Amino acid sequence: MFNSLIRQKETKTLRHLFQFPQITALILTMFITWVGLANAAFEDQFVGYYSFDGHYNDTSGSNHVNNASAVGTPNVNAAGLFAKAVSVSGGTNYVTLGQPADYLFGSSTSFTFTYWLKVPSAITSDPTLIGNKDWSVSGGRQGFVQAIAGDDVKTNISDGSTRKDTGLVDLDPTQWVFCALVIDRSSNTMTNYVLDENVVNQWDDASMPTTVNISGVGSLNSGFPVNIGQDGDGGGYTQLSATFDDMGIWRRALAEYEIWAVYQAGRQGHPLPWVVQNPPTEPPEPLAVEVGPYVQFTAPDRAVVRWDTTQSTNSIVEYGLTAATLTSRVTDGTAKTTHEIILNNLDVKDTYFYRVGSSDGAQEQFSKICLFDNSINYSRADVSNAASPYMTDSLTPLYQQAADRIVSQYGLTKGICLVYGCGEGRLAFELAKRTDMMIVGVDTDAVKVKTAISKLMQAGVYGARVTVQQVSSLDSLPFTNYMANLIVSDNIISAGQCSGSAAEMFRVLRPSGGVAYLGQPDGCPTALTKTALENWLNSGSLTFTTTDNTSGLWSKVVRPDLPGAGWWSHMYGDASNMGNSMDTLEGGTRTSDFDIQWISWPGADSKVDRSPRGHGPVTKNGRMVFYGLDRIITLDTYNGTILWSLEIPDLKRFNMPRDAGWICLDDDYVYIAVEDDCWTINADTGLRTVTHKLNDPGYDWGCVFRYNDKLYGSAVVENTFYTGWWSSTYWYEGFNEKVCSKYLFANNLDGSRAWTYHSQDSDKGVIINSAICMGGGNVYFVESRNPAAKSLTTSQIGSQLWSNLYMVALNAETGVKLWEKDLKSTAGGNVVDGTVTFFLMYSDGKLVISLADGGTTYHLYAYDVNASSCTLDWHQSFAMKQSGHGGNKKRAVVMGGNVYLERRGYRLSDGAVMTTAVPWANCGTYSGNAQTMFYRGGNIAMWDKNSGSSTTWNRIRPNCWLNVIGSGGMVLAPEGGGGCDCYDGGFHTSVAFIRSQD
Amino acid sequence: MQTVRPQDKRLIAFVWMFIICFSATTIAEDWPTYMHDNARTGVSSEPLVLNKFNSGWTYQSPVPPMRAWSDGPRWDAYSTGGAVPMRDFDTAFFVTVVGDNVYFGSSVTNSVHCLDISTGAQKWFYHTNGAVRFPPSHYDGKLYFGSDDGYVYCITASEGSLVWKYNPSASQRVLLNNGNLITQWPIRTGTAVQEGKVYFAASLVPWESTYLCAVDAATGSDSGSNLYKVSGGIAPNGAILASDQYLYLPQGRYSPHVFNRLTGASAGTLSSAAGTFALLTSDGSSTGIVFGSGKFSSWGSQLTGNNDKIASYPNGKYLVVADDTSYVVTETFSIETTRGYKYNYQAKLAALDRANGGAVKWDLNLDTRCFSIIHAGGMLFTGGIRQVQARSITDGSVLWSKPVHGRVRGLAAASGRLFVSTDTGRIYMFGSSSVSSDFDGNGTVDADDLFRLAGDYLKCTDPATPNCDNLNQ
Repeated sequence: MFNSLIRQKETKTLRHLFQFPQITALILTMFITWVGLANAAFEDQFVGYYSFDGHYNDTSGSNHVNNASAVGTPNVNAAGLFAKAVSVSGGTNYVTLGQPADYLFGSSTSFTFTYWLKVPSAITSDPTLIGNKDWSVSGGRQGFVQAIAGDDVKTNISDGSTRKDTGLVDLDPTQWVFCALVIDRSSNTMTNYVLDENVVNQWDDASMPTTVNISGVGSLNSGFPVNIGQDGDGGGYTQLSATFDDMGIWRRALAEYEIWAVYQAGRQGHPLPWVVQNPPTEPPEPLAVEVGPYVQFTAPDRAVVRWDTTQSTNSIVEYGLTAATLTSRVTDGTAKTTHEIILNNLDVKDTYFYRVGSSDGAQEQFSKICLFDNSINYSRADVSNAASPYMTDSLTPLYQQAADRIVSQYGLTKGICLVYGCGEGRLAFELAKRTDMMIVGVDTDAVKVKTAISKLMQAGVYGARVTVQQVSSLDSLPFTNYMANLIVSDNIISAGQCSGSAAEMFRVLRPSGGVAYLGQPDGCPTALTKTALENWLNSGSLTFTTTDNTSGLWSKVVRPDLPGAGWWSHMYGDASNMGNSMDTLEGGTRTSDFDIQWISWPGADSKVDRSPRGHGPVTKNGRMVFYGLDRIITLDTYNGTILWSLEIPDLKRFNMPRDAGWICLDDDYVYIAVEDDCWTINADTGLRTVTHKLNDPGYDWGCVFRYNDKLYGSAVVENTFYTGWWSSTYWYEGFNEKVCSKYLFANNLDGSRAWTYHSQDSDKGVIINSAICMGGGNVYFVESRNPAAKSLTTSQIGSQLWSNLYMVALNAETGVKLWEKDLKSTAGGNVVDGTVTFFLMYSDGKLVISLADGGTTYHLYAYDVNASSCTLDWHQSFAMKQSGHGGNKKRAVVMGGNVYLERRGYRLSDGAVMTTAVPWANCGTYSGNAQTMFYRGGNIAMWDKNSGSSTTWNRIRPNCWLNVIGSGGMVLAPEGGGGCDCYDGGFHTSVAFIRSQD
Repeated sequence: MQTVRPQDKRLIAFVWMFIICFSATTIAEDWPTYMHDNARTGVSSEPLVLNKFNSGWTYQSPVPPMRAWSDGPRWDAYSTGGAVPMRDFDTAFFVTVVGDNVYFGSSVTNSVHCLDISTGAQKWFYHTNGAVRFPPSHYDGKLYFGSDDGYVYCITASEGSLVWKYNPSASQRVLLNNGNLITQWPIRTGTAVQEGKVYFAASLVPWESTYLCAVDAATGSDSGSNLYKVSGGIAPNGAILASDQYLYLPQGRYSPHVFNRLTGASAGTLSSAAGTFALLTSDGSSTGIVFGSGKFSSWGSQLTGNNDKIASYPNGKYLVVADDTSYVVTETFSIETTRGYKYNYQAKLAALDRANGGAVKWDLNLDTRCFSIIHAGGMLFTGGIRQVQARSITDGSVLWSKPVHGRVRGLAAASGRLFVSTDTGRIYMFGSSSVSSDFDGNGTVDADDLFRLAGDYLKCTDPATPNCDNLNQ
């Protein structure tokens, strides 16, 4: 059919050009070649086409005719999208394509099915749409299937051993929808498309398919025919009533633009043969984006888009409220490789879609369409241009100088600033203009407070950036401890007086770097003496430094960490992974010992519901980094101020029990793995300062550790992280395969490589990500040298791990191997398979393996380690309370010289049983402090190891892994339970608790 | 030309004075509390003339409202259904309108503001130490409202002077909520003033105690007949509702809790669903409550005062009941399960016959999402994304439409005007820029104004040379 159409075109051309035979021949040749080439690309490997226009014939025109046939009495004269179609029903009336050679795809042949589908209503159960497997028995059966489930469609393949499923894509009943399943063996991906009438263009909301990695899946030849509307074995589901039209089959993977072309043609009334005649042309290469794009909010109505390119180009951002309407455009004509475009006047608290691009004058290239959510914009208003409401007088330059001085000496622009003795608010106003801080002014003078409020309202900054309160006494503020990042005084400038109490001022100053900066510039109407200022500070027993020069008289108080404060800088505490911050929580051991410090942001709308075993919070130096959905948010731990947030597309990585932490902090920076990079981000500003590059195509950045003077990372085969999150499937009750790294390395902090440990070396193995830790100046990990594990092209590895298993120690500075231990040997402990979970942690000269086997037993193995040796010390095992619903995934915590894991505590030094009363943590795991552990006891629960008692905060649920930690003297519980209504609803909020002041 | 005799003017003035005085409550109906009344019906008989809605004014806050809570989870992966925000009670600056004054509470300035109804100019503001999340309730010449600073205030409606303030908790401890200062017991229910008593609750979290209070409107005392301060373990979020017998407290993520209005005794919890939207319906001797949205997906449920379900509205978002008709806004959406956002929203508006088992009188698709609905002047007003519309109650067709900034989360109608509150912190007034009887603009309404009106009226009705310019302003 298609060839006859081509011949028609050739005849017309010949007639016109007959008078010029030579030219005719040339042009004709060119034309035929062009048409042939164009057709050949799309028609390449086109092996089956069924119009179902009253028959079951294959009219693809390929070398083999693969006619279909009816089973039972399907109706092949049903009303179709194009002429007629075939309707199947009841599981007994369906169509079979048989098992011709063209439809045997084996383990290495890519293939594509496309078709139009209509179902009259949502379908119960999940009957087969098209496939060759015994789907009704199990998705683990060999073969492939695209199946319907209610109002969704999914694709599944299996070689009988390894199974892969795509996510669900919406299906709109009662209308014609375009379905496609694409198996691509070259990229090892499987893609599931469902495109309905709501899709407007290729980038529209509904057009995003689901794609999963299928590495490790072998042959899909099930031995059953390919059927339409029934399982391959002909039995199983009976619920499907559906109509199929215009089915095409290729023995190759169609590109996304080809899928789109077939769909778009169908929407315009053209069946597949028309597309063959009018084949799509491959779109221009997308913009080569080296890093990003990603978005940072800088004002309630403003976002900054950033990205890097390898080539120096100009900058374009197009954006809008839907992917189909990117109608707003901002450009910068300057050629550069580090791009930044500001989007202003964002007026809707909703999702915006955008893409970045560049133009060479002739052609524009764009990235894929990304999105950011302006409702997760926590920025404060920019009032830098606010006009002063105060009269210009002799104090005006003094306040300006003071504000300049304070800002330059403090160095930060976010957080809460307390003006302790705020007068009429003049210093508060100047600071609001120069920073992004929330300024809180307090004073005892009612008239001045009233004036301050009026003036600041007049300026349009009151509430947005400044609030003022009258208090009865500055010696007794109503505020909670530790709330202010910066404390200053207006009264010292206006009246030369130190108001209130130094001790009271210090009480509300934030630990871990909070600054009180008190003084006055030269020329104030009433000079404060250095003696008076220092005497006042000494009355509070404060430590300070004083400068007295032409810049004025200033004293600076910097508050250190709270005594006993610990931090949680990595996924499980610190680089040792022992799951313990060692924070004393200021002596609090029961929930009633604490009061709320701050509450609300970030909320459940910023993340995946229940956080499917995603990355937990990390803290250092008074900052906390919280992982949401495609975003990270950094907060001040003491007052909950959102310091910054980044909207990072495709930042999805879950199932932490089978992976390593990929976000960590040091005193000044955040380190986060993004695709094949690790970003170093200024912890105060959110600006990326260094991008550590893997520079290894085909790999993504695995673990992230910050230890001593190095940044440690690893390389994981790309697209093998756990990124699924929709539906209970992705609570990761199963999915036991561990994410493993092909190699481990250390970088200097400037991004240069220090050393690499590569598994492809004959004496090395694939490194289990959840079994990497550091301590005592060394790096420790467990690797499998099993050739079957090393040869896999995926980094999700299961049973192949548990032979040739070695624990290895490297010098952290040099990467030199110190020792290795065969864990499957008697001397190594004959460690059982960590089928469900396998963790490694270090504490005080000991390495501990904490694992859950494939049954119902937890195991702990403890080793004495030093720079030259590793000796098994003890092994303990015990039965789990329950193995289902997360009960079998817990990891141990090392606390106070003991190892604790679900109802058991063992002395670290010798394995002696210390307790059998550790509370059970439901589907989560534990986080430790100096004397207590947090866990999921229904609600957020706290266990005191000394008393053995547990207390809870009612009606607030932690997440399904680890989101409650003790850090900086506080209890931090960023939101984790949103989406779940266990335990009578759950309050769903982030909250931080402080030791009660009563 | 006919000469306007002074005695004619006096007669006309008298007639107008009579009409104005008599019609003060019928021509210019107030909107004296959140959603018009303590049942939160959103229904007003205020006559409205749409062709006057092409003028007005706009108040703009420096920044959008600073909400107490984030929106909740977008979906529940267990049910694979879409979740809906359930503590979204303070998304805009809602207004109360009494006489020539427009009042609203601000979560930005921590104040109650009073604006001139004609010009939008601020007359005064009353400052507190915490966010004011509901507009004040006007009662007997005074305003009553709660603040995140833990106090309920009574101030004069004319000048904003403090009469009394009341704090149920002994604790003055201040903590942080989204970077703002609040107490452990903020007032986040607004107030309901009824029969000389002010009702409200103070609460933050369900694991701490809650206070339900009834204080004397004149003095702020909680001691006396049917006055009380009781504590319990609920977590009210959303406007308090009051009927003759009961108080209803929406709880955001939990079902509303019911209390005996006169004693403060618990009368139980309404079953299923939750959210902060609620209104009371009156069917003769019984009172029903409609509330939503549900935890997993939005739906509404109408119960009797005895907690018996008599209707449910799948996917219901907002509702207003007038006479025998319920006007329901429903919404469906899809969830993009790769990048995790909602799309394909479809809002619908339906009129249901309450006297006929909820039979659909009419329904139609809305062209944007809808976040608010009221019934005023014999019309429906709906608020969507960047637009507000007036609709026929007969068939829902659009009678009038205006663009606005942001999403319309609040609507009110009073004094012949429409008030629109959006989530960008704007308050729009659509209507005549002057309905004040101060025709000579000297700041007071007196006999001179009536004489002036009379004269204008006679000029307009002069059969020889009619001149209506002054009356058409």
